[in-house]
Amino acid sequence: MTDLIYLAVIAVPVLVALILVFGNPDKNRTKISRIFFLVAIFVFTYLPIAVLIIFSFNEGRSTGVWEGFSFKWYKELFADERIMRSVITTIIVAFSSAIISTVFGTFASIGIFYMKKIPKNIILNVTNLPILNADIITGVSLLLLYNIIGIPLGYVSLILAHISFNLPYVILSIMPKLKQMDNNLYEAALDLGSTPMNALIKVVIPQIMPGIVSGFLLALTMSMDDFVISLFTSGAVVSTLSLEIYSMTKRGITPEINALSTIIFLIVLTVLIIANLKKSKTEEDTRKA
Amino acid sequence: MSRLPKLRFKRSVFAYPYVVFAIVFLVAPLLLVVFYSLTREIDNYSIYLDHENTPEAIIGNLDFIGYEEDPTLSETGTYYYDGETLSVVNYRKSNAEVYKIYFGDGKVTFIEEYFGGELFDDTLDDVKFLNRLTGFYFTFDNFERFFSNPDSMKVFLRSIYIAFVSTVICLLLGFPTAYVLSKMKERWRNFLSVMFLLPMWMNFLLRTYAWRTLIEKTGIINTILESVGLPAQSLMYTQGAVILVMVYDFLPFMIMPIYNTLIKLDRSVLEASHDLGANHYQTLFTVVLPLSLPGVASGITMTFVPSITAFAISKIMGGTQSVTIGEEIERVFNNDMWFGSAMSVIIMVLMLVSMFFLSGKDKDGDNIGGGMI
Repeated sequence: MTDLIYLAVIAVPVLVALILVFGNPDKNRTKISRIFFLVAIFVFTYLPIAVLIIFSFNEGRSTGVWEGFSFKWYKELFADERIMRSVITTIIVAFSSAIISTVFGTFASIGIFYMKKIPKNIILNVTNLPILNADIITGVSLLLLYNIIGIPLGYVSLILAHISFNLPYVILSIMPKLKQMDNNLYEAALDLGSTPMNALIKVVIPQIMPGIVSGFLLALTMSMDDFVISLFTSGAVVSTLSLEIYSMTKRGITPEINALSTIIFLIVLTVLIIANLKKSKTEEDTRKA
Repeated sequence: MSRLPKLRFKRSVFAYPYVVFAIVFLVAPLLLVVFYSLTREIDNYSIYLDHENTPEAIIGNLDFIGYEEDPTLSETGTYYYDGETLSVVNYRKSNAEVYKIYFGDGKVTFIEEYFGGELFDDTLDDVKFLNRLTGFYFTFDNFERFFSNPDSMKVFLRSIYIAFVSTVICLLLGFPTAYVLSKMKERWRNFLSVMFLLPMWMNFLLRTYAWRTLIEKTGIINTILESVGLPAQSLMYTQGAVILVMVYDFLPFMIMPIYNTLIKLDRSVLEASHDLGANHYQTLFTVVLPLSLPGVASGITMTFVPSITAFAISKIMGGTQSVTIGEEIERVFNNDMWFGSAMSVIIMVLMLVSMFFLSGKDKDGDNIGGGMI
């Protein structure tokens, strides 16, 4: 019964606002309910993160009672060998798989772009598979593959798995740029005496560079965020940050995770702010020009 | 007309290495899952004796991979069974599994036994080696076992239910959020959309864990409730907790595609609708809503598909009453790849069906990566 009362206290105003936000934008009640609704979603989004950040500075172990300010958990985090090792593993795996899949994916996209229509469609649909498929199935299926061809679980299997789910994202962010590209430039380069390979590197690749960069960044984030596929393909020895957090939640929670979350949140926030400032700046520049 | 210089190679050759890679790493694994789901390993299998498979050759093979005859086990000796004379020899390797070998009339039967019901890692490879030669048969057993077992059916239906409820809640919260954001002034909406989508870029296990600290027995919500004199609630380890966190984790994936389609809506279409006499609600229901459907469809795909198999969330937040199919696959797969593969195939079919209804709505793939980088 009390559950229902609590639910009503939270859910009813949100539901009312949810209907009112679609009202006539000139009316005051629409404006107010829109603000209320956004604030409610905003609180829902940031409440857990805010609590994590606040309690990362807590003196005690509790995540419910404030016992005084300290940097204790940050110190313990940096002293924790397991976590630090998993951070390094994550960085190694993310960067190596992102770099390999970007280089490999760039050439693959150029090749796919110039394929005939039917094989092109087939290969693009195959490329979509890991994006559409559930992570757990990708993980399980790669495990079966490794079992059959005899790749032992470890760094190699983990990086191969990451490459295989990163490549589709790289290819899908480069393909639209290839479509927008002016193909005459490539032919002009050939007319002016360039070799095809040279023309490709000096003419085609610069034109699709934005796609390559965003493909790389996407691969990097996908790889860092992955948990399920890594769980199946990493084996017992290698552990990424996601796997480490998962095993921490099973072993029992220490506020070190809070400190870790705070640091990751700040990194994500800084990166996104920089990326978006840069983006709006280039947008303004293009508008001026 | 000037002739173009002849190309010395086709540019499509660049794709060939990728084609090979895609066949090995994208297509073959899925075919393997299907293959495993339709087969079972033979635990007890017979090899008919002939001039190649003599008892000596078979024992020699076992010797070769490290098995030794173990006369200390009581069953070693000669037995009579069904009028046949069988001699039984136990072979074992370093305290791990035992092969009982029955030599009968022209036939040798292997029976694997495990101590403690567990395979040890170092012997696993040898067993695979033996089994890979002759040790599987085609069957629908895995699927039958799944559909005839009320427990696994319950888990399956529960996962669909949890995924469905969280997708509906995500849609109910996500569509208005995207709509309100898209109606804001450009400066504000650029900033706010980044703020709303930011958690998407944080590790999702950390986001899941964050809720745990909030709703735990000793968490902050209960601390606040108790300090104002209200009874503490036990919110953890329930289906509600799993759904709550699924909504939290997947909401950005619903907001983002809908927001992207809404801001791309052609303003002149809306103006035309007003000019032709439609009021605000008529425009909303007959113009905005239908035009936003591609975004809604990809939002639903991006929430429903991961939430059906998400197992970390139910494992961290849920209890025994909220075990999902993803959790079940992970648990089963370590012991029984064949059954686990069958479950994966069932999930794949389910997703193909749901995608069939939602596909073709979002062709350009604009929404991958949130269009944020």
